[in-house]
Amino acid sequence: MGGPALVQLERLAIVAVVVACWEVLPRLNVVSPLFIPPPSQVVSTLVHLLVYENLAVHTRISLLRAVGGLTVGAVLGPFLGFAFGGFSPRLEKAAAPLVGLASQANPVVLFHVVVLFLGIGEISKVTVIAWLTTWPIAFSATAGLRTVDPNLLRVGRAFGLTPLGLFRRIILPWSMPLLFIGLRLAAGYSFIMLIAAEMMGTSSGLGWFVVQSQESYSAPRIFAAAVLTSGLAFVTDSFLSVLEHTVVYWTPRASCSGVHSGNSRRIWNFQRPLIRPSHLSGGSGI
Amino acid sequence: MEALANEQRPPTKLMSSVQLTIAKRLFDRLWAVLAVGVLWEGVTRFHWVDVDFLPPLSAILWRIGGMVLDGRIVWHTALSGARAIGGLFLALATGVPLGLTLGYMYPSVFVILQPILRVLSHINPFSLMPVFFLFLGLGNQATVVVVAWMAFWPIVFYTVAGVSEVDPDLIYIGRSMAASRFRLAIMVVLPGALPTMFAGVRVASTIIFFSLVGVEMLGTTGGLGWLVHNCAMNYQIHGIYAAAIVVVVLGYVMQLVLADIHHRLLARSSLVDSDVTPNSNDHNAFPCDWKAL
Repeated sequence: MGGPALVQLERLAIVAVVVACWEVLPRLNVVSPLFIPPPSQVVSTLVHLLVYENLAVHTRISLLRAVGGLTVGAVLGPFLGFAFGGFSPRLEKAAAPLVGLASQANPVVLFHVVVLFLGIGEISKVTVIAWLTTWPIAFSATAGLRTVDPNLLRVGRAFGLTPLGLFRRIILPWSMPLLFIGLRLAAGYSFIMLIAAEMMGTSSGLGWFVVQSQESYSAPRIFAAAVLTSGLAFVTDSFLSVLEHTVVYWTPRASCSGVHSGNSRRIWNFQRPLIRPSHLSGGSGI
Repeated sequence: MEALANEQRPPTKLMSSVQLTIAKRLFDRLWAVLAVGVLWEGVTRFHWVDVDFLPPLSAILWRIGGMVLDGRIVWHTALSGARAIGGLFLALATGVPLGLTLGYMYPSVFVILQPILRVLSHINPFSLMPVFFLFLGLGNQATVVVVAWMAFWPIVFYTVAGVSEVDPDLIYIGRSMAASRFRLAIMVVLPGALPTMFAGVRVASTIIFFSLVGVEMLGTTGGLGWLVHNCAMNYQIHGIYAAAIVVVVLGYVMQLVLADIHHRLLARSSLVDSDVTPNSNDHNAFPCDWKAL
């Protein structure tokens, strides 16, 4: 390997090769361009739709729904997660099945129920997305609360921190990386399920646009919408990733947060270089 | 020490106390769910909400019973289950070999492919569904492929992560015993990566269950999603709630079972650190940062 510059170059080359294949295969009629249009056509259709037709309006509508729901979820999720994870073991035990059931409430199923109460306006879609995004974030808040290092809490108490101070100075910073993981997962879910919901019960938004393109079967339009939705999801995820590494600057870029993988002790210790009692007694040479 | 003390304590009560303990533990877990059920029933019985829109829970449970008896629930659940399992197996059959190849055999290739894999993983299958339908027709095949597409990415990324986290000492030992690379991959790397891979399976199955219902509403006949949609289109409010409750409970049970398997796998792998592994109460697939890979 010739350093990071070469890797970047190779990455670009791979992307270029893939796009070139996609361009050439339909042009040579290896695959029918009626089914899979070449990217140049997709991009020109996309530009046309954005400039001369009202795709930009639908994009804005979808984006507002997704961001609105995600914002509500990002506020409610940590609140619920810390509340149910923190107060009493009894409450936590009883809340577990309730929260588990609530988090399984499938957004597209929920949509049919929410529509009964809130109508087919904007509110019902934002509600469904908010519901969907709340739970992953709430779970990561609870996970943060559960895994917080007891020694840190002891140190905090020894320095005379109030419970609120403990939360603000120790629990919240500890949970922050986990919260961001939950947030990014929620953002991914929200884009996927928003499109599904919009395909069912709306007359606006990108999902509706996909259904329209499907009915007047127009492959370039379908691919243009797919490129747009995937691009939006990708940009959102990248933005959250940058935000994550700005806010949670103290954790390194790890491959996978090691909470759930039993074998990732090394990564765990790398992220949190703390001496745990079990490490001392376990006698493993880490 | 505590466990020892408990064992030494003489068993004072007989069977009834054991049953009582089980009942109490069940109640400890379920009282919140029961409370919500009672609240639902009360609110509707006293007509504090519009009963046309929110029927009483008892009526919905009665409806579920009826739908189980006339075989509808069983049939649609079996159909959805077969599609979900088919999608998961398709994703496993393609994703695990790819993840093993990229993570273990050619990690440098993975570094190069990473951006394009990340872009591909963000492709929204719902927006490409018309294309899937065009190639595979409306029906089971397209549904399974769409679902498998969703499940494929977490499985690949978690496999790569799991493979990279296998204890290198184990691989050295295998190599010193002159195991071939393929044999190492099958005998050492795959079992070592299994707990992490299973975390990926959990995430994938959550996504599968969410998206399968959506796909069934849009492009097939039959299945639980179709059942909900059909009831909604025919204004059978009881039917919507009945099917929705079945979907939710099934999803929850699936999560519990998967969590149990996952904890068994974690407990089996010798490297488990007791205070790093999650609490056994935690039955939800922990959102691992697989897109950040």
